[in-house]
Amino acid sequence: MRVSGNWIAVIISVVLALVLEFIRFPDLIANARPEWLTLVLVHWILRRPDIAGVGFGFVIGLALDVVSGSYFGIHTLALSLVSYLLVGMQKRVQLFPIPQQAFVVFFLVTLSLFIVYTFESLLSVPDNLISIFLQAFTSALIWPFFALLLDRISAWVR
Amino acid sequence: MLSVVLSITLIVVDVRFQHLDHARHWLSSAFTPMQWLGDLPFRLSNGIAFLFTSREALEDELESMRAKVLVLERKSQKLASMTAEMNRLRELLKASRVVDDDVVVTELSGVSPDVDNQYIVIDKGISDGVYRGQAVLDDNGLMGQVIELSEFTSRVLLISDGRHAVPVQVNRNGVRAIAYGVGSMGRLELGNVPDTADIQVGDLLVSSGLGGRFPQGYPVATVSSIEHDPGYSFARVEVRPKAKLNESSLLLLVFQDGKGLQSQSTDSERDEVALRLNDAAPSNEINGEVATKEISP
Repeated sequence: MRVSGNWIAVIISVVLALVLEFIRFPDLIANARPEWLTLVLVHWILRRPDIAGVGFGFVIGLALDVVSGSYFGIHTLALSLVSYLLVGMQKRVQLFPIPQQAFVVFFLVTLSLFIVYTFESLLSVPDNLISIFLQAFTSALIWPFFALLLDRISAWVR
Repeated sequence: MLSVVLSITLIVVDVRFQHLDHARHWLSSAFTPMQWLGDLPFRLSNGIAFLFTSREALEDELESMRAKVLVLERKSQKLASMTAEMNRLRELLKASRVVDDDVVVTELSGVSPDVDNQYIVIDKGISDGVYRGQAVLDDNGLMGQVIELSEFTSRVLLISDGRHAVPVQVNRNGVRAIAYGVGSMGRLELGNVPDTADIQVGDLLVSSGLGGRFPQGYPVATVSSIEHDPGYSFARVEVRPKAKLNESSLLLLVFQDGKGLQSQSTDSERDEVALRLNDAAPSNEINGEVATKEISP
C-alpha cells in the first residue's frame, strides 16, 4: 500500500512537471525557465533512493526529449549521468541544509544542460550558453518551494 | 552505465534513421493533455481580458472587420476572373495550370518553451490529414512548416529558426535567393547574394516554390537592410518576416495539389475543391476555399 502510494505521488509529480514545462512564459523570462522535470528527478532521488535511480533519470530524460523535440537520447544521457552522480552523493546531500541543496541543484542542472548543449551543437542548433546559467539559477531558486510542494503532494497521497 | 550506452544508441539511431518517429508520435500524443493544461493559464488570461472588453470596443472591432471583409471581397472578385484569365493564357502557352491551394484554418495551441528553439504547436494533427513538410501561413505571410506530427497536434518549425531556410524570390524582378533563419523572431538573412544582385530595401520576397516544399507565391519577408562590404564577395541582406511569428494565433494550413486530401475524403466541402482542381475547364470561381470548420480537439 505504502509503496503504491509512493508511485502515485511520483506519477502526479511528473505530470505536474510536464504541465509546468508546457506553460507559456513571456519572452522576457522564457530564457530563465526552471527545469521542472530535473527538479522532480532530484527530489525523488533524494527522498526515495530505493525507487528512483538512474533508470528513473532515463525515463524523465525520455519525456524531456519528447517535450523539447530534440533527438532521442540527448536528454536521457544527460539526466542518466546527473542521476548517477546524485545517487552517489545522495546520503550527504539529503542532510544538507536547504541553501546548500539549492547549490547542488544549480550544479546538477548546469551539468545536464551543458551535456545537452554539447550534443545539440554537434547535431543541430543549441540554446545559448547564458540561458543555461539563467535556467540553473532559477531552478536552484525555486527548488526549496518546489521540494516543499512535492513533499505536500506525497503526504497528501499517502 | 547501461543507460549511457542506451542513450548513445538512441541518439545514433534517431540521427541516422527514421525508426523512432513512431515512438515520438505516440509519446507526444500522450502528452497532449499536459500540453493543453499547460496552455490553460494563457487561454484563461485571454478569456478574462475578453470578458472585460467593453461593448463599444467590440462594436468598433466588428465594424472595422466588416469594412475589411468588403474590401477583401471586392479584391477576391477581381482575383477570380484574373485567375481564370491567367489559366487560359498559360494554356495557350502550353504551360501547366496554376491552381490555388486549399487551406484549412488551425489554431495555435502551444509555443516552444525556450526562445532559441523556434517552433509552435497547432491543434491539427494526423487525424486532420496534416502531413510532414506542410506549409503554414498566417494572414500576412509564411510562418513555417510542419516537422513533427502527433494524433491531434503537430509541431511547426518557424522560418526564423536557425535550422530553417526558405527558397524565395524578389517579387519585383524574380531574383532568387534563400532566406535563412537566424534564431531571432524579427529577422532572417539572405544567403550568398552576389553584390551586384538587384535587391533593394523594401522589396517583397515571395516563396519561389523551388525546393518543392513550399507553395509558390506566398509573401515571406521584406528587405530591411543591405550591406555591401568590399571585404566579402556577397552582400549582407537582412529581411523582416511578413508573418507575425510571435503574435498570430489563427493560422492556415496549406494543402498543395490535393496532397493529404485523400485522408480527408469524408469532408464534402473539400471534396468539392478537389474535384474542381481536377476539372479541366477554367472556372470563374476561386479554387481555394477556406473551410471554416469549428475546431474539434
